Amino acid sequence: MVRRRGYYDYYYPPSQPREAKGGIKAQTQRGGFGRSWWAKRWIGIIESFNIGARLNRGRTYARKGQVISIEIGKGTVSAQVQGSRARPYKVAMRVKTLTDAQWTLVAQKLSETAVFAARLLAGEMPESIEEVFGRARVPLFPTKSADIATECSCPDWSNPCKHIAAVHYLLGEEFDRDPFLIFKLRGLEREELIHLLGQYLKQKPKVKDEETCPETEEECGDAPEPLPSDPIRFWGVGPESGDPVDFRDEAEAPAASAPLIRRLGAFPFWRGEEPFIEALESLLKAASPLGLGVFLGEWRGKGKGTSA
Amino acid sequence: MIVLHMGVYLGFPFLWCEAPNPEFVGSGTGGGKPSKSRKSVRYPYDPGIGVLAEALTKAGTEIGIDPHEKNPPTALFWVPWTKEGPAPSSGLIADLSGPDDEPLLKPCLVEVYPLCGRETVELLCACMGKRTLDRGLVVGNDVSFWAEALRFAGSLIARRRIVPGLLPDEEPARAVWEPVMPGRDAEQLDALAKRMPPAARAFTDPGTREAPTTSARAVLHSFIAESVDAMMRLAPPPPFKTSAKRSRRGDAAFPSVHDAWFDALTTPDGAVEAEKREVAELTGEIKRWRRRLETLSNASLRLCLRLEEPGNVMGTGRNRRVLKNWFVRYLIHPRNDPSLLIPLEDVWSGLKRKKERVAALGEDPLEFALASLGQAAGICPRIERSLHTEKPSGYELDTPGAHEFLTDKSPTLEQAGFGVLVPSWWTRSGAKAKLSVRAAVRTEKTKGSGLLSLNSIVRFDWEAALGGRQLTFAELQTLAAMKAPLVEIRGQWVEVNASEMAAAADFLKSRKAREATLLDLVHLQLGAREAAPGLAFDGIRAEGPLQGFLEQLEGRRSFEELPPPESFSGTLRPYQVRGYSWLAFLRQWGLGACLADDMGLGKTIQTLALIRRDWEDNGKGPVLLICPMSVAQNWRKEAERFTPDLSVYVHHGLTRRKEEDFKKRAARSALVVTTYALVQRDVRFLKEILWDGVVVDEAQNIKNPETKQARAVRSLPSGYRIALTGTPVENNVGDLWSVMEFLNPGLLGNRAEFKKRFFVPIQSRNDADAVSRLKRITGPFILRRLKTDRNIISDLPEKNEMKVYCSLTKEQVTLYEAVLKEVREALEGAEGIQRKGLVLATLSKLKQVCNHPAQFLRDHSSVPGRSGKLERLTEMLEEVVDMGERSLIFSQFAEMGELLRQYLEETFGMEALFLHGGVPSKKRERMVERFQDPTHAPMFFILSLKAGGVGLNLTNANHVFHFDRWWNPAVENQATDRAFRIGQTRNVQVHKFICAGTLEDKIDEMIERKKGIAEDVVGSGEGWLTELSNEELKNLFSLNKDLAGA
Repeated sequence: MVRRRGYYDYYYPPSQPREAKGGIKAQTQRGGFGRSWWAKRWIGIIESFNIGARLNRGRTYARKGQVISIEIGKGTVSAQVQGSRARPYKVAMRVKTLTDAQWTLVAQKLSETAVFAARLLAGEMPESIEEVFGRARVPLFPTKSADIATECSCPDWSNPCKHIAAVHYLLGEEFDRDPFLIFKLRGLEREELIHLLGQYLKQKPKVKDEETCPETEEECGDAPEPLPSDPIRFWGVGPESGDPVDFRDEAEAPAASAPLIRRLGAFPFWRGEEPFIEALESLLKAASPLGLGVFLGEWRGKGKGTSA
Repeated sequence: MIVLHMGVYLGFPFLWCEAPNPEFVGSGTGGGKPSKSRKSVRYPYDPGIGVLAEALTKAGTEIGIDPHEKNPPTALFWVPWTKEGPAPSSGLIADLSGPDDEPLLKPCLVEVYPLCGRETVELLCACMGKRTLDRGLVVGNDVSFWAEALRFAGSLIARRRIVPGLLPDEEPARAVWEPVMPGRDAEQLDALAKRMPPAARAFTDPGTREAPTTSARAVLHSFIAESVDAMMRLAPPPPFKTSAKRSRRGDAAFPSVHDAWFDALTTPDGAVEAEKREVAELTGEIKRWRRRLETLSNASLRLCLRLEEPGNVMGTGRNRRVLKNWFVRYLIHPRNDPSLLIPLEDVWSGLKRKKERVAALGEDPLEFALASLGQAAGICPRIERSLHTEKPSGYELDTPGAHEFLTDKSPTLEQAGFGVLVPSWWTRSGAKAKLSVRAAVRTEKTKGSGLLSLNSIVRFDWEAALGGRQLTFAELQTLAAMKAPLVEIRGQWVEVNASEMAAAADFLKSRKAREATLLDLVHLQLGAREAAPGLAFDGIRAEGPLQGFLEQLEGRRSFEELPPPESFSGTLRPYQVRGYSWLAFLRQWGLGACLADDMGLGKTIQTLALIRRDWEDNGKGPVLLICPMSVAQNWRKEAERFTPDLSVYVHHGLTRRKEEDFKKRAARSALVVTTYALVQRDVRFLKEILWDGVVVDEAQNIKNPETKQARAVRSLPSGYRIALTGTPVENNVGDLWSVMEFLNPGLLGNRAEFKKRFFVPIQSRNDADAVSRLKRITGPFILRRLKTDRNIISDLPEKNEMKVYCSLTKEQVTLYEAVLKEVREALEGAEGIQRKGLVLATLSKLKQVCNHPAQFLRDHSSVPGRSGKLERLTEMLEEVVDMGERSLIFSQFAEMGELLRQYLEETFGMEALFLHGGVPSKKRERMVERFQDPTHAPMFFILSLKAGGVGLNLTNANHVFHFDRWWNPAVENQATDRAFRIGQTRNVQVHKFICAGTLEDKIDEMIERKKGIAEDVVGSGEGWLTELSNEELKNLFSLNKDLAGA
């Protein structure tokens, strides 16, 4: 990796990149990237390379949406970044993957206490996981420059360049959302890891393949239900057949924000112009009175809203 | 008569309808086994979508059906058929007394109108809680069901239980909003699905050969998903910066597929303009975004956390130990069975004797438990710490930790979908031993001060109490200095909030002694006023008469039962004595009372007893009684009967007295009866009289506080106020305010306060706390007894006969007089058989006029609003139907029976059976059988007196209406006994309708006078009437217009 401090930046005014339409926009519009410790840890890698103002510009690129696409594979990342030239630059990263033996060792250590399986199953990265990797003498994050190789088709002879930095930052943001991507970069998909962990849990829980799990509930468990031919049953319910369902519980809107949306978090590599979570929440908030009006039987339509 | 229906197919709702088809005669046309021919027959009761369009327009709904559409879309409807043809939805459409052969499902075509999202929401909202949308436009069961489902969808939106999604396989791909229903919502979805009428999902595309078998749950789920999506698009979207920017620039294309998707979430059709490849990528991204949701919301298990008090046992065998600390235990249960709680400990242990129970959890309880705990760990760090062992089963807590769990963690965990169980002393409201303040009345000031009234000034001190025990100021300060949030006092855990203690100390210090009126204290005691901001109020401590009054008011002490007033010529039943004494108690204090006894328990007689007593005691001022026109005559009649020495004046009609003239007449009266309409019109001079009391009958007439009527009633000055109603006001929170504001102004605060404090919390989330507060405030002023209450039943006669006096409409009076004029001349010259015939014919004509002008004129003219009797019958049946009780309605005229049948069916949207002389015996049996069905019987059975008078057993009804009279008690009693016979388990109420001031009224009086005379004098028919002299007859037929009330 070449490290030339500064002078390129001083003597050649930075070229303005072309506007990229529909690029991935960092949701962190202010302050440092990465909320979770693991994302910060990842960001720390690029920031440890002393590339000066390129870091800043990389952040700006990430925020402005200059990165058009990112694809993550096992141990590989390929991305397209819109720079000052017409044709987007190609960024590639290769991360060293761990061997099967290494993974087995890690899984063994991880299943010694319940916390790792629990937090991973819940989609979170347990804080002490790095320690466990350490005990297995396997690093979770790439450490040496040999562990991570980067490449960009831009003319800047510094590596990492601002384009690589931008991709790196966006990856950090995505790790916030989905910590399993770090394992993927190290060569193991989420399902594989869970399966591996399961082998070491006492009861060996089976892991369902998520891809084949039916998506909607009605496909999951609803058996066919033929129509009755008895006319009274066919036509139905009167006030007599069963109590009306009382779903009056908590129909009021939650106080601050939509907890469901907060729980799901950011959208993977969001490329929309509106900030995703905020915009979604404002849509839900705007519709909430209508829902309450319908629920209370007060809504009368034609834009009058509730008559309450 | 049209029955509105709504079906759902592939998630999309559509309308169709049913109407009687006189041309369709069962057997023959298309009946029999399902036809082999490929061409489907038309459902014979489908009048087509054009008819529906007309009816909906008339009902004022905006549904865009084109009534002239040549080829409306059709659907295959799979309906049960018998030999006679398809079975319609109810007897409103066709006779249900069909053959007994086994019905088979058979497809037939119906015209349908597919609804757009807006139409679905608007129409279903309009149908909520209604039996008819308009006269003769009946809301079908299925429509009511979908309206319920829509309310559920509305609550999901209100609670923001929805996420955006994408349907990638449609062309173009569609952005959609999808409901998320884990936990309790899933249970409610299941419960709701069980109530779906199968007819609501009995549809397929034309040409399908198989009947639909999609489950009710799946159809319901698809409908809720569609409705949620539709409602989200109806709401005005917030102004987004970029969309404004884009429209200003006139940009058509979106910068990215994400923008296209997000934008499509608010467009009417939701179409996402993007390439196939982009759509596929987006699909994957959405799926990844929603992954967290799917792991837990699809699970069939649920993690539950239970807080256990110190002293609980942990572990078994050698590991057994008693915990000194609080403990949060992890448990799992199947979602559909919250009672099957299995400690995680047992799942880990793998012990044999636990295996069976654990097996009930299915295959992977551990993976589920771990994933859940992993999520819970993100909410609560203590849970995270507990996971650092091999087999976590819970964690210990110290007292502050337990308090934090109760106050802070448990609601958050609950909201995230976990079950939380806490000790009952925490949740039981009221029992939660909390700090409270109370007012101690200084007895020396109130004692011996003579008579107390609401305006008396009372002095009192504030004091603090914890769990009902008084705290000294010093104790309060000690507790305020303590750090522990939960303290065990006398074996009971008590929440001690240091800042609350300090606030209470401050409050006590700043308010040593106070003065207030007794009315203020009453409001304080009932919780209508906040005593001390932020502090719980524990009531008033008082002694002597004041204590007695407060205890009586709250029903903690019984009050003296009064003897009936002097010269009261009726006998009060024991519960009526109690009701009358209660009215007198509140009246004595100048507080308003709402008597809401069930119909038939005698609200009138109790009220008259009070009026009589009060008239004697309080200077003989007049009482104003306000009621609907239909019952005004009834009041006069009842007053004449029970309180004959009170002068009654009925203020009504065009020639009524006004201004000074009225005031003079009122001053001479004990009771002035008038109608709601006239109070509004004459309020100017009505309110210039200081009424001794104002009584409103059928108080639901003032339930809407904004109406002029309600304002006028509230503005009348009076010594006491009573509201009478048969519908339970306390169950309808929205209506309660207006009635209470009339009775006890200010008790419930102003309308906006009421809405905020009670209406919204109760309507939207059934807030138990708000319900009990409201009950506490209003309870002392509402007395409602049901016929079924044990101590009422014993007081009630098994058969309770009542006369119902009705008035005539103007049209009826005119017709009545025309008949009279005609007969007066004819009667002079008539003799013998001819005279006899003339008398009977006149009798019949006059009775017909009293029944209904349309019956007399036989001109098939319109029915509503033309008959006092019919008006009253409708009002009474409303109450009976609301109670879920069935009625027999007798008339001696077959034409009147048919008129009633049509009218009741169109008004109530419910089938009415009609048995008359022309019904063949087989059908007659079937009718009786249907009426006696314990669950599915029609609510009304109309019988002509001759056909239905004997032999039948109709004990499913406990109300008998004699719409007109057969002037022979024996015949009437025989009819009444259809319901009142062996097998009847309830009290039977018999309502005999009489038009006041008409021949009905006079004949009734004659019979009452002759009651002592043997029945054979009266004979078996009405022939005895022909024996009367001309003079007697003229007198009998004549009309007392003043009484008749037009």
